[in-house]
Amino acid sequence: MIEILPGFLPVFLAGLVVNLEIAFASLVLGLLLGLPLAVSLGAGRALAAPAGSLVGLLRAAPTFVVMFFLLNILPREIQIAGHDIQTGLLAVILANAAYAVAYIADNGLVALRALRAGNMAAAVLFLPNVTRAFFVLTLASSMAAAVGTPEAIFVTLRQAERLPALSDQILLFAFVMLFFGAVLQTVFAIINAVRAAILHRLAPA
Amino acid sequence: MRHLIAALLFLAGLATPAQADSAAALQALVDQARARATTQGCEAVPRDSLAGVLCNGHIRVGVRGNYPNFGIADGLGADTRRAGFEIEVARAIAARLGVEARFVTVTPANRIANLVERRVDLVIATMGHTLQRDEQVRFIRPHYYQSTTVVVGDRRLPARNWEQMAGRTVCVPLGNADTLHLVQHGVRLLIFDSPQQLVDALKREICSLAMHDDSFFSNSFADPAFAARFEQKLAVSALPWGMATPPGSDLAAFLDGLSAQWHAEGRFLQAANGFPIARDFLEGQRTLWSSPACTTAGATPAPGCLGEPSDTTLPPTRFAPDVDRFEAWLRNTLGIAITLPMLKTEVAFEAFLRGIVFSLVLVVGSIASTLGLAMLFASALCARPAAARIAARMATGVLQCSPLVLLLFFGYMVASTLVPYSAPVALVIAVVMIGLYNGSSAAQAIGEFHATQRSTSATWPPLRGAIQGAAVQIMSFLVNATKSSAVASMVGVPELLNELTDITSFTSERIMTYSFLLIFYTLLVSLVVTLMRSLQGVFERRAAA
Repeated sequence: MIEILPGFLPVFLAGLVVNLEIAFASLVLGLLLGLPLAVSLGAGRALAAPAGSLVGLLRAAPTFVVMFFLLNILPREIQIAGHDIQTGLLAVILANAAYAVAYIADNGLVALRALRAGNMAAAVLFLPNVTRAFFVLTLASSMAAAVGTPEAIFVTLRQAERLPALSDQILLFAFVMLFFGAVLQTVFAIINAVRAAILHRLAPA
Repeated sequence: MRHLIAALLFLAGLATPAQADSAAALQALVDQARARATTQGCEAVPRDSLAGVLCNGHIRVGVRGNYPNFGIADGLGADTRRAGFEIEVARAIAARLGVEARFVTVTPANRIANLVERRVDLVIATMGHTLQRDEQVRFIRPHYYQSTTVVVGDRRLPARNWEQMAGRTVCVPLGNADTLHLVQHGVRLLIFDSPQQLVDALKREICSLAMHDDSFFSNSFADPAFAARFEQKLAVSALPWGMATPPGSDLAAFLDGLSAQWHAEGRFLQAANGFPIARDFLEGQRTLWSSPACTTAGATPAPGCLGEPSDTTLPPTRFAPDVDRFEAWLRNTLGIAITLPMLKTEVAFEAFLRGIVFSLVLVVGSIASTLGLAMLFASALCARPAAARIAARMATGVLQCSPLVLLLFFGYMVASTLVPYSAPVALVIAVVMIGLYNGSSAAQAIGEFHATQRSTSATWPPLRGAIQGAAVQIMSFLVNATKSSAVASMVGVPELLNELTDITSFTSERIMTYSFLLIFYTLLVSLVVTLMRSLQGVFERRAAA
């Protein structure tokens, strides 16, 4: 197993970059669409009702199913700003964006209400929440493996199916699980520390 | 005249007496057609008849323009250069009749329409001979070629039989009925719009296995780099290819005899020279048609030696006509054009029902396992011994941060060492893994609430209180378990997503199918959300009381 790591690691890390790109693009879309929705949710009933229905629908739509739906209805050849975009990749980004929009709208509304109530500490917590969403999206982006996008889990599965011994395959999976566990636990610990620092700094003396 | 030709051929050593008679009989058909054209006049004979072709001095042949090694067109208009096995066959037929071959590019979508509307006299265009097509056009038998649907894959993959293929993903082109064979052996499908995309996907490692005709892959295997990486893994089914004429054309009778004669003489094999295509069928046909049992003295081939067309009909459901009427009503009344392929054939309807049942079982199972495993982890996270809490925290930490897809495959891999693949096994694995993924997060919420209670309490707080305190988070993870249940399709659970993908692969209908899928799962999640809110209300009322 050890002998495959020098060849596998660069491919795996390149795949991880794809995960981060998917998460970033989904989050940007989530912010662009989720924040106006959050404002609408906090506005009068005429705006809040349709916005609430839309957010409810986005919250209920399973990301994996949305991805397959988009994969099958989007045109095969898509160009954005002169660049050819793989349909599978776009489907994953948009499916994750659906989750991100609902998440940002919900958290944005909480932040907005806190801001109106003058509770700056609660409002600023929106930022670490968005960072947390980014890493949740990074994890969720691994479903792109189902449509052949070469992200980290996809390349791990490809590598595993070529390993002749089952013990090696299990070791490879354990390695990747521990990698994700270590990285994300560290990130979440940092986010929690930042949250605590913000709360501490903004707490009334 | 006919006897003179036969005698000359026999004396020249070019044929057995029976073959010589057969060749002479064919020449007699041509002579008769020429005589008919002379006596009746070229205006009086149908254009697509043998006499019409001789009158016009050319034969219009429908051929492929983009099928490597069989029919490739390069350039436009009169300057178009064509090459391929089928082009060679068409040229040889024209030469045999003493006329010019005029090519018309056809596609799988319009080749039959071109024949029926008599825009071409003959089609030689990678067309499989099926019972269904027999009702539309006249196929020439013996068949000139046979394509085998094969699975091609990475040489390093140990997938050389159906047992080893189970649970793997195979990339397939849209609208291929042979996908049913794969599905029956527990293979998952990834659908692509065109066959060319399959080759690209193999090269770019998006797919490690792909299925299509061996005739299509022959061009790829001619490339040494491709052949070094990939090999044929499995043969799925064979489909005879037939030339075809418009219905009622007497050209067909001549071509029947000519095909038998050319197989016996190895002329089809000669036409294949220079193209890297499979020759097994052609060699087998040469042996068959040169055997005494298949050699006849007339122009009609021996019926017992002819290959049969394939039967690709899927039995319709008993309510298929009602579905057709409903679709027509929607289209005519409301202007909505939808198709419901999952309700029209028995095989699709069974898959559809199976998918719904498995989805419901999967969701119920995932909720139950999430709840059960959350309680199990929580009891360890809230246990008095610190070692138990640390071990549980490490386990839940890794589980929550592992992508669900990876966990599913990990579970599938471990289980495959104990039991052979089956749909119920895949279902159990998925239920356990979805439970571990969401249950670990729910347990952490309980553990955090318990830790808060511990910090403010002099005694060890009871687990029940922490569970009640984290009820909202527990319920959100139960909803997450429902939402993520469809990911189980990746390890072959035949839930609705998987079954509808299988149906799409042979019906080609996608928009309605996947819209239905999205509505089904969204409603399912909404139902679970509503149930959870009701439960939450009950708990809150109890707590208040």
